[in-house]
Amino acid sequence: MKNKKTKIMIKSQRRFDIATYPFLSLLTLVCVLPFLLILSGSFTANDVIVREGFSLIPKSPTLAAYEHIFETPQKILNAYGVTIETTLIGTGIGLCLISLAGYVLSRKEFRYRNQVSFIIYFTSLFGGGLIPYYYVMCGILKLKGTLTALWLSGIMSPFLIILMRTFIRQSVPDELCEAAKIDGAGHGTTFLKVVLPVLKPALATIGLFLALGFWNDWYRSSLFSINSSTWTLQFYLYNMVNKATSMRDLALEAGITIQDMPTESVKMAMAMLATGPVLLVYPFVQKYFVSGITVGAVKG
Amino acid sequence: MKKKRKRGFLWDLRKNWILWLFLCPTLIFFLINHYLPMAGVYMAFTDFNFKGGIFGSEFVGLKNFEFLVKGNVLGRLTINTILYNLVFIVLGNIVQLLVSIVISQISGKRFKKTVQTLILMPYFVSYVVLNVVAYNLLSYDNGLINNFAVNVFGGERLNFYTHAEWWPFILVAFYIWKGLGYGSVVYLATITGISQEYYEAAKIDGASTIQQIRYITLPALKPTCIMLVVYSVGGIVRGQFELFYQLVGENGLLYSTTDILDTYIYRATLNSVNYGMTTAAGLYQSVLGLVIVLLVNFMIRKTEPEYALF
Amino acid sequence: MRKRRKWIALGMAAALMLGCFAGCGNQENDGTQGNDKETQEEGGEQGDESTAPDTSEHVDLVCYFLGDPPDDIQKVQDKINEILEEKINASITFQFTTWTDAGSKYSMVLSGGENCDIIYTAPYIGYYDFMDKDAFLELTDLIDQYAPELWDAVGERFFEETYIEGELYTIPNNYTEYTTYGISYREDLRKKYDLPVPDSMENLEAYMAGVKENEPDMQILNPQCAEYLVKLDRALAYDKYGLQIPYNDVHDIQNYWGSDQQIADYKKLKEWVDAGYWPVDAIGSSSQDPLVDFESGQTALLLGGNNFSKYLNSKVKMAEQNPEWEIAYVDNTKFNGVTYPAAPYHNGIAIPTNSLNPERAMMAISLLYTDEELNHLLMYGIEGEHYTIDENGYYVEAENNAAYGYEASNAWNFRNTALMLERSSQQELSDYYKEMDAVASQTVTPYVNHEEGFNCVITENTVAETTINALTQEYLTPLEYGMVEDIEGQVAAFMEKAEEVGLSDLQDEVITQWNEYLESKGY
Repeated sequence: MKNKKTKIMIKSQRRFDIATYPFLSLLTLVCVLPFLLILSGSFTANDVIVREGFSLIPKSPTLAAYEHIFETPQKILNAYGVTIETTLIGTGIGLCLISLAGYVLSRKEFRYRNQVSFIIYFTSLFGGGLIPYYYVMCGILKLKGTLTALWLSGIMSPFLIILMRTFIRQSVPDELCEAAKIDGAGHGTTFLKVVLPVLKPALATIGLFLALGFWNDWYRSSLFSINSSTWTLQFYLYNMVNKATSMRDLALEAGITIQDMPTESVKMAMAMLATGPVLLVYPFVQKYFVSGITVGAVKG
Repeated sequence: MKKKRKRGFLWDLRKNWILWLFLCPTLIFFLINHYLPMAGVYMAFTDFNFKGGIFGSEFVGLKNFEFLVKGNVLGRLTINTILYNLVFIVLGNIVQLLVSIVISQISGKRFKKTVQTLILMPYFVSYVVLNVVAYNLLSYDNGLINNFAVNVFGGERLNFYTHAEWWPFILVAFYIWKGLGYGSVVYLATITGISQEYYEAAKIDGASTIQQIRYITLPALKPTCIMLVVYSVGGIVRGQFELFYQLVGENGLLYSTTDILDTYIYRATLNSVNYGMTTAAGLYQSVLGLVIVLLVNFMIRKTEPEYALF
Repeated sequence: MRKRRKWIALGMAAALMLGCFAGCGNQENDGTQGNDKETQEEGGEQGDESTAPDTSEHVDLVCYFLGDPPDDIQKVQDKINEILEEKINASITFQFTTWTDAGSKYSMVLSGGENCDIIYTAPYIGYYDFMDKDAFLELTDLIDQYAPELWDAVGERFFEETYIEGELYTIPNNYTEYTTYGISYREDLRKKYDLPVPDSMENLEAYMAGVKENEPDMQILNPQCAEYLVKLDRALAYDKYGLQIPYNDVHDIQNYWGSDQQIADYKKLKEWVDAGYWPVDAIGSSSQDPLVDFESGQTALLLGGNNFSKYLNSKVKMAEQNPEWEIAYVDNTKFNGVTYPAAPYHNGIAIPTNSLNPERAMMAISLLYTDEELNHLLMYGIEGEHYTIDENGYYVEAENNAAYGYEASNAWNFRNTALMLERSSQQELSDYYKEMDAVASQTVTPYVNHEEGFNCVITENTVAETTINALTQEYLTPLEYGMVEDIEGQVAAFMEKAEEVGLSDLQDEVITQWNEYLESKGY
């Protein structure tokens, strides 16, 4: 009897696979193809791109774009350093605070959970614009030129807190906490011993989102840097392209020597340099949210 | 009941001090990083000058809002913006759900990991580069689509850049493509959180894969899905500026189907330093977004209080 | 009921927060007011005691420039501070906006988020807009009191042009450059196919047609240049909001939008795109840059944002990469007989309203502008390390030039012709400037740059202005790219919409301001 059911099940899984493999493969292809275009573009000479456009296989491949970016290696290494540092610090602090807040907001016994959620959510709707924000960061907090300015604003977002709240609500049933409470555990112990251990997928997801946010950020670096010591990788690359175009836009400004730069291919190389490290690290995070369902093998 | 009413905020603070302590850093963070600068919305009602600063500039009432009303564009643009976002939210979530369910159920382990990694890649393509990708696909003389259509099907070349009717599809396709990998991470994580026992039990009962999805996975994803949708509703009046700006740019011929609030505001205030007007426009979007999200949240509270955002 | 209570409590908490940041806001104002008072008092005391300014208290100044810092800025800054400490008991920190988002950074710096005492200004990064919103201090008194030597060091003529209705908000510099547009074109193709030099509209069209005929795969020009090309034979002092004012007859204000001329121009552009001079969907590609297109050999000619010094750059670059290509330059004076230099305040030095030490800032400006050692440090770096001077007095790159090149600090507003070091490679450029000088002296208003000089800030019709800005892009940009079949219809639709939102009121405001401008300057 059981055997028959298992057979049906395996059959059904196989049918599912047959139906979905082509779908996923095609989807992946659609996601990867443009990237190959970009990859090839980053290895193509700039004037070839301008003249003939992009192609999947680089015509007369060259390393010019990468050479240009790595022209002053100490600068770009420093930028990598700044990015890694802010990503680690910001993600670490952010994860701690977000999970604490998510825990509190998911507790039914916390009467003000809806109001506090609203206070937090409200900030995603209203903003005062850049000038007041800059005034608070530089005028009041005096953070201009510091590393803190690079990660501070990114450690939390209403979205991540509410996402965390949803995760905790789903994966930590109230009974579990009640049980812990009856055993005499305080909120601190419950959080550490009961909630955190089952929260791995949530922590991985939110940690990933935080880290991607810091990794991709150029804007705070652009706003709050005094010199290149706090330039993040993304800002370094972004500013490099901007410099070339701005110099050209200074149409009326004679007497400026225009730096020769392979703009188009550098843009493409930027995308590659930004993605590369993430693709390397991603599989390690991935195991927390993709290993879940075991297929095929059925006990007994 | 009477007794309970007396127990106010301070009582809760004393009883649940440890929970408030947990929240403390978060509240301070939002106070400083969001609520302090929020005072700047006052600029929407002033003629900003640098001498007076945010609070010392001349008060001009609703003058900064006038440019939105003039030219009878506000209604059309607001509807455009909301419609686009609606499609982005609904279709985006459906595709992400679908893909994450398929990824989680498919049997090849290595395959599923590879797929999941690779679909994240578009997330890293900046919108500037997206313009390049789009032009390579759509251009009249050398575009991949035109070449394909002509060489394979013997069709005629189509100039996408003068045909506004195609652009809603193009924009939606690019938006979904770009957010697919990122968005499905949440769903995948939620699926992972589902206790294995449910699936084991289902398998023992001989449930097919489709049945497992139907009766276990989907219900478990419901709270997350509702949360994501309700959350994004607040921003429904705020357009995806970068996407539209980079793909459509200054091509006025496409504006009949692709003009949204954000691109219009950008175009209108491009040539002048006008903090009042941009803040006013932002305020309009915020207030409208707030009203909509409060309505939606209210309805959800009535029907399924568990899933309300607040 | 209970629920309401909760919300009231939260409301109160929110009110508290509000109170808190309102407090911060007030503090902000109090702070600046307090400082104003202080500075006023200081000034008063100085006036009472003696004419020599009081520099007993050490101050730190911040000076902002556009763009990226050179690598060795710290080193140079230390050298400059050694001297400044001694002379005016002040030190200076140089900061840079970087090339990313410079405009919005100006707004933030000027709004008082941080100290800033000296800042680079230029019309193209919103000088008039910022000035109009009280971002800069009036400088006449400050110069009189703390830096009278500047009047002579820069020169009266330059100051005169910079004054707006009796007020001075930026310090001009006395280096004159000519940056009017011209055409760079492929001379090798011209020779090969025996085409005329494109120095008149007729020859230009013949040249373009000839190149297209012989090189059918070649794009003739980037469409971003096309609009300039059509208008090349008209020398305009003003061209915005549909008003065109000829340079040589500044009282003859013409309405361009909706005119036959405008339709004829668009027809010409359409003809060109039909002839295949640029791809019909070129508007879709944001990465197209006319200069890059030309230098990489994709296009045969370049205009719009192109001037002689850029031509020289292209020439060197193209000769290096493709020696078989040859390029030449036709100045727009060949088409319309008018040229004028960049305005003297094209690169200016201003003191922000929120500066804490305007007096000391003015002294520092004066020293940096007039003191040879300081000026050279700022402009060229350290002699012997970053540059040397050869026997003819020319600037020569030294070993460490990469860390602080020629004018690498982007301090173009501190250019002082009396102290300036020239490079031998600049000879061709100075010759060209001399040539242009001769043309400029022959115009109706010699040397005057109306384009930068006419400070038009719309105040009455701001709504019309913004709406028309939006309409222009929607309706006219596609016409400029030659993408529209029904030209008359499109222009008519545009005119109808524009009139609806108040185009004529807007134009009236511009005309009133224009007439005031002419009157105040006596043109």
